[in-house]
Amino acid sequence: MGKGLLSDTEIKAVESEVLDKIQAALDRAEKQMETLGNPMDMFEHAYAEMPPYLKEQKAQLAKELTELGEEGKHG
Amino acid sequence: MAKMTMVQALNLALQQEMEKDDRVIVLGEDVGVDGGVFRVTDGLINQFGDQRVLDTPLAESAIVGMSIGMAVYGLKPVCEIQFSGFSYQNFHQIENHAARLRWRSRGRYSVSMVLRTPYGGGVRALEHHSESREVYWAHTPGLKMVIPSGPRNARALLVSAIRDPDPVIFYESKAVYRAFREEVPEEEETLPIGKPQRVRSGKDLTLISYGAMMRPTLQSADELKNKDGVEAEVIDLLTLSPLDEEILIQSVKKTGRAVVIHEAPRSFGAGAEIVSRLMEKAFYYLEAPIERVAGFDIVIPLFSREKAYLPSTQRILRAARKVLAAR
Repeated sequence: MGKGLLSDTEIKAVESEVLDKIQAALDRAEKQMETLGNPMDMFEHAYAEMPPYLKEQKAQLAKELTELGEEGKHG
Repeated sequence: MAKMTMVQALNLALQQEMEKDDRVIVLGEDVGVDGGVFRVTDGLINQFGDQRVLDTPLAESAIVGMSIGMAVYGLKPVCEIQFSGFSYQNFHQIENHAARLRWRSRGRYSVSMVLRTPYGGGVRALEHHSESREVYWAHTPGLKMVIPSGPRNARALLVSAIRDPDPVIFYESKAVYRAFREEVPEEEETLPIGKPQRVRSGKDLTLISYGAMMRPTLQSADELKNKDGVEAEVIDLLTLSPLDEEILIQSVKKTGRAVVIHEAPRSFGAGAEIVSRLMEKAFYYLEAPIERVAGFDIVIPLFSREKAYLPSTQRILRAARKVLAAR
């Protein structure tokens, strides 16, 4: 050889390293999702002033999430 | 019969229709060599060649404009827009031309085309990839708006959509694409566009939904039976427009109670239209106000909060029990 070409073993090693990195990033993201603030935040910034029906929807969800406990919070 | 995912079932519909009718053309971004972003058009370019399966530039307005031209001249284009959130780029072509050409030309021209596009949440996608905006199209006269809920009805409806003489917007749920398999017959199967299906019979309550929300709706019906001893009738709309209200009215006349479920925002959604029609035609049979379970009136949040946004069985059950409790 001597041309500096990648061997099959080296290709496999690179692939496995890349897959590990992707998996680690995914795991990290999944973990971060658990701590990304409160789901109630999604109602903010739709308008400068929240219309009454949206306030109602927000209150309804808050009530449901309290009933569900932790289960309802995370995607 | 083979067990298929919705992706495979849609692929079968395209493959068989292209085989039967050489006017059927598939076009869109990456639909050829790549087989489509979700692989719905996988293998078609190998079988039918690049004159019938066209990889287009990233230009939604051009894809739809070209499809309209093809349709006017007698071809049967089936274009794919990679995500429904990108289809606003082609809104002008659909609204101003596809939907109106029959009317504008007093029937001289028509646009027999299908616009296929994935919609909805549940796969933790990024912004512009999770919306459920079927009402834009259902609100536009001249268009048909079809939303299948599983592999078998998706295949049968896509065949019907391709053969339909009018433009059909065909929403495919990403959350359903590979979620489960169903038996799909090899031989031709069609379903009439504009006909909802009663997928479960019951006498106590009517649950009305479509698309991805059919799964939590059916799960809720199971739970109502097991925990509450309630027999819920479940109706899958399949077509939003033209909406056939007859089956809905008959059902509500029988049960006297109804809940409508969709993931699209609540205000001005399909639920509002359905409730209006039931109020007009079945008001004196109602035992309780009709409830809507829907997405909130906000932009669908990013992946980590999708679950809190999308209607869940808990929310459906809460609404169902409220409607059932009213005397």
